[in-house]
Amino acid sequence: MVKKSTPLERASRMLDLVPFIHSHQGISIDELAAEFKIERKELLEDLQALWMCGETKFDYMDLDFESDYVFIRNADTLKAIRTLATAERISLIIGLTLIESDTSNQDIRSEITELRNRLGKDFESQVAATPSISGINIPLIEDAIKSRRILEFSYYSPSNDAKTIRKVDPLFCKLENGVQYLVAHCHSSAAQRTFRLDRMENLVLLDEIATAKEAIADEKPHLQVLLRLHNNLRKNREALGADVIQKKDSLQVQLFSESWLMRTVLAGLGGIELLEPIELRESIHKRARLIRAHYR
Amino acid sequence: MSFHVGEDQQRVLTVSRKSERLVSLTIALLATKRFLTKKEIFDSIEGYEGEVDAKERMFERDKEDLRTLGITIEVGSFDPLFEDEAGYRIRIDDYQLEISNLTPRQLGLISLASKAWQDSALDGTSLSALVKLKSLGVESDLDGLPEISPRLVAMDPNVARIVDAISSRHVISFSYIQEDFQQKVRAIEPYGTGTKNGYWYVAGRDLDKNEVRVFRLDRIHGDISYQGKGSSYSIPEDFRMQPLLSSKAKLHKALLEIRRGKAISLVARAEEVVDGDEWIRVVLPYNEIDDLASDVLWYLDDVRIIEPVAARDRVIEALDELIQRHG
Repeated sequence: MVKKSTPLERASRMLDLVPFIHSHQGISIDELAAEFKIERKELLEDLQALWMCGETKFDYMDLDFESDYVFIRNADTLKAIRTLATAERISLIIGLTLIESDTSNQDIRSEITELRNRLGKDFESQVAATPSISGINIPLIEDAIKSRRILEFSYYSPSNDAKTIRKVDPLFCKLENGVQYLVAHCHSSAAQRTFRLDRMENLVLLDEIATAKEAIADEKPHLQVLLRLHNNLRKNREALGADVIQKKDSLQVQLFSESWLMRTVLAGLGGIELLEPIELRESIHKRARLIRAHYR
Repeated sequence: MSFHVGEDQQRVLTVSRKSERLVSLTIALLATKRFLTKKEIFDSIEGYEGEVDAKERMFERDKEDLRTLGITIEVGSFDPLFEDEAGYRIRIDDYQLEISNLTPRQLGLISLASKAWQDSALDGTSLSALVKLKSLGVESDLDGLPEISPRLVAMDPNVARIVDAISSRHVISFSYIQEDFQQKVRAIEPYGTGTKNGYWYVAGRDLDKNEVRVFRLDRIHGDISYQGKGSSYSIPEDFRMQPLLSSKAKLHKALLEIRRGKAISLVARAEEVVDGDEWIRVVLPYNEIDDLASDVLWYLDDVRIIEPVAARDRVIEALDELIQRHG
């Protein structure tokens, strides 16, 4: 909301304000600003500018917003609703497709199909969207945070190869490196934990009140290792994630979990070599020999 | 009243002057019954200043800007006697939304769909789509809709650029990280886009290979650039994005031994499961042996490959290499 609009964005918005006000006569400035997701001040500037445009010889548009409620008259030209641009249609089609994935309700699904057709039959074949986070989870999580209630869910941790049931006091959601997380106080760990939204399943919002104190500062990954890649460069590099610093001929990676590191190096099929710390090098060596022994 | 207008204020004035000029131009071109000449436009709309050249360049940019907003300007002849006197107008049929009614529930669905982009790449785009549809005067009704809040993560500005390129049929080029982790410039006619497993993709005709290829956006280095003019190609009738993002059918089968309770995601992908005491046996479909070996070794000593021999050998080879490297 703080970002300043470009002239094009502003022109687009001014054009769209007219038909909107026309069908919402008497709407308050604050409500109108909320609908267009801009600050009150910016809306007033837009209305002022619109008013001046309405003073041309081509269209006498009468815009009234002195009383903090907005009215418009004689906007014969601009009151027509502007057609949707292709990008707008595509954005809605993608959103509708996500909703469709999360519901088995046939009524809703056929309603969505009809809406997609109306937005543009052609565009439907040009887009594809499957949600990574179930749309059912979001309202539950938001509700839990807002009403300070305990959330229960099953959580899969690939690093530990374990699926466990968790009960947590949700604190807040955050987005990091393109991944959505829930930061919460976990009852079984009796500590603050960060959970990936796309690994949470079977969420249940309990009636119990969450009692966790304010969130403590985020734990920084405490383990620092040095690695070298020998082959399958893109695949292995991507497996290491985002917290990677390129050194001269090695990679420095920050991590939380030794278990994750062990599995990643093994899954690298020899293309990832752990250089430091030495103890972990030995652990990997030992583990590889252990697994190798099974294949005699 | 101060005579000195600060630089910041100058910029604000320029910004507001341009947006006002664009709106005034739209009003003029919509309201007119006949075509308007450039001269008439320059004379009656505030904001066209300077020499004729400057005004004409400004007008050319404005027309392009309106086109970007999805507004089609009709060019016609003003006077049959003066054939080179071009005239401009906007037809209401081209300008106006073709959707004239929506049910409250439909608007409710649109509203949810638009929320999916909250704080993401097409946030502004989906919002402007929503306010236009709300202008139909229908009240959004979320009653009877399932408690679903779709959420997209699309922080990459390239997502918006790709949607724009597909919309305007612009060739795009970008630096792509290849399998050997080297970067190569690729150019495509973008046909479609999609998201799966949290990743964003663009598909289009690769100008080099002359066939449709799919690219993952997080492998694009830097910004996508537009090449040449818009409307420079057409999208084949039979193009479908969905199948390009679907998992390929798995052609081979492997026999694995998995420790009870472990490797749940492998067991979930298995075709057959035979129970046992400490170990269960599963038949797992796969395509590439390397991918299978990787998947299996992730589970350390909790998973073993029994068949095929080629896959077993690959795992043994990998383990030997690991042992040697970390010796």
